[in-house]
Amino acid sequence: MAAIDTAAFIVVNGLIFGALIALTAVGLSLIFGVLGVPNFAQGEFAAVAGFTVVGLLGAGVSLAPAIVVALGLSCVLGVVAERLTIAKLYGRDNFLLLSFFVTFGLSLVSHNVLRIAFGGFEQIPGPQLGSIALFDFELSVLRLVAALIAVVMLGALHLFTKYTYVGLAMRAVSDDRQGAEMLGIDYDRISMVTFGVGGLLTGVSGILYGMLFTVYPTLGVSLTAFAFTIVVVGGVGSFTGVIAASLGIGIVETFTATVVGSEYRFFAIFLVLFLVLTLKPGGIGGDVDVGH
Amino acid sequence: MSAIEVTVERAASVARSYRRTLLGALALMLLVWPFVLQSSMLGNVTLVFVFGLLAFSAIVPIGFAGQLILSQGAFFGIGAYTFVKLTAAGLPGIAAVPVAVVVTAGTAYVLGWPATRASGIYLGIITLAFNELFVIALNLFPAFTGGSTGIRSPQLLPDAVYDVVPSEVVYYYLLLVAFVLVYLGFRRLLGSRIGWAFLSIKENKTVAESIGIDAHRYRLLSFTIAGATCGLAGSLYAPLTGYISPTVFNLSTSIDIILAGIIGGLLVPIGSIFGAAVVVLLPDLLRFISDFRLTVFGVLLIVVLIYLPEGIGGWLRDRLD
Repeated sequence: MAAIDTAAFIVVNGLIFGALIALTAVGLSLIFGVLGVPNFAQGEFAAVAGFTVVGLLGAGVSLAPAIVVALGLSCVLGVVAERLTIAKLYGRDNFLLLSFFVTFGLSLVSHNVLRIAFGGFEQIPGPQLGSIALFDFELSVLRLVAALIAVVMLGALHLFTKYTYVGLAMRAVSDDRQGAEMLGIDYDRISMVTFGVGGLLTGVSGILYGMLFTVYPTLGVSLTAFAFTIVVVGGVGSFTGVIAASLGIGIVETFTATVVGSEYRFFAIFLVLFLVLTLKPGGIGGDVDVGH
Repeated sequence: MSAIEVTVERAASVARSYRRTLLGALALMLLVWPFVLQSSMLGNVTLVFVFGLLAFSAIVPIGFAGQLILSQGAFFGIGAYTFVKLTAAGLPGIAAVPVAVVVTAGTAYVLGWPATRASGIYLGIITLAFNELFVIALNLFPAFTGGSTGIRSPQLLPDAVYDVVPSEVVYYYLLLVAFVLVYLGFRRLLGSRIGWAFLSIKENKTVAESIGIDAHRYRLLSFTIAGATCGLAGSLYAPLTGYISPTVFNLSTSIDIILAGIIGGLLVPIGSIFGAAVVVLLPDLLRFISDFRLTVFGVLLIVVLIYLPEGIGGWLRDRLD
């Protein structure tokens, strides 16, 4: 029975981990899909949000307001980053390369500042919700709730892009920027909203990650690496592809960490990435040409 | 025009009229430097030439051919480890260098075959993954690579040479000559038909193919050139420092190399030396705020990309030509 227990443990925890990183990956996919910015600083929103909660709790603020402030901050930082850096690059030649290296610069600044301000590993003490027995292991309810929150957020994003005016405008910009502008859609505004929403989603994933695992200054870089892998494997612009890839990568990650050893996590992830991309350059669910 | 701009313009016009004299003075300065500088400073200047070489592995594929390659650190490492393994096996250092260049160029070519099927950010992510896999692999096979503690490198030249001339002076001149030759080679190459072919596939692949440019071949060529350049730099770097370890070749080295290219100017071959000087010497100057080193680099990267799109090299060229 032990093998089945281990398998169940890997699948359940892999799916939970996958749901959390899906929030970062969907933020990345949104920003890349709509604006064509391969945002290397995506994971930084998670690290900043997580550490903001840690810092506020340390200053005596209680959990709920700390989370609200941290999420507000990650949303505002998304908009500020877009206005101060990316907005100055629209229309330039080689926008893809420029924006990649600019966001890389943002990521350097962010994790350096976080290291100086907070130092090392921190955990966010989440609410005590008890645990339930599943097969042969205990599963904390907090983990299930975190996964549920991630799923709800993903559903909300899906409805937002499908049914609201701003969401539809984002998709229009993603399809055809000039056509959308001709219809009177304000590109700058859509660009700010996209970064704000992307920052918010990833901020949520950072706080949940901090409750289930730990936050650390280079968490952003790790999450960005995961998110890029997921987006690329799942196919850019494919919402369902990204969700499926997140869950798949989550299981691969948990399997490697449990069975092989946690130091091989990134090796396994990068191997999957390398193999998928060399065999199928456009990702599993996508097409190479997405217009960017 | 502000007062600063007027001063800069005046200085530039003076510099323009004395170009030959200035170049002569610069050449003379580079030749006598080993007898003027302290040895630690001389080591840093030698390292500037190493990064000047490496910067071409960003300038050629990224700047000219538009291929986002992020595995320069791994290529650099392959050159260095090949040199060490070959010389340790008994090959003379001077023969190991060309072999290391060929091995690294070959690896880049083989990686390029599947990788160049992808483009844009996909290519960037594949090469980034390759860089990480390379560093992890170095750690996984300690018997061959020395693992995370690293491995000692044999000397490049026979011991007799170092008895006559101090080794830091030897390496200074060696890397000065290597940089100047590689620079002249690339200036010629990038100004030729090949350079135009690179620029045209960056501009528009479909149009380039329609006028008979084999895009896949040129993209592979840019990969291979990046590999060869890093291989040369790696095989000279290993004996220069005498010691190599996996962390020297990780992603942050790739980033330093690309940073050197961007700050110098990705379309300006001579910019490589200025970019390299910033990347190598700036951390030393910033030692008093060393904690903020990455913040300074990040801000510098952003500012250069936004306000100085052609880098220092492009800025100087606009004023001196």
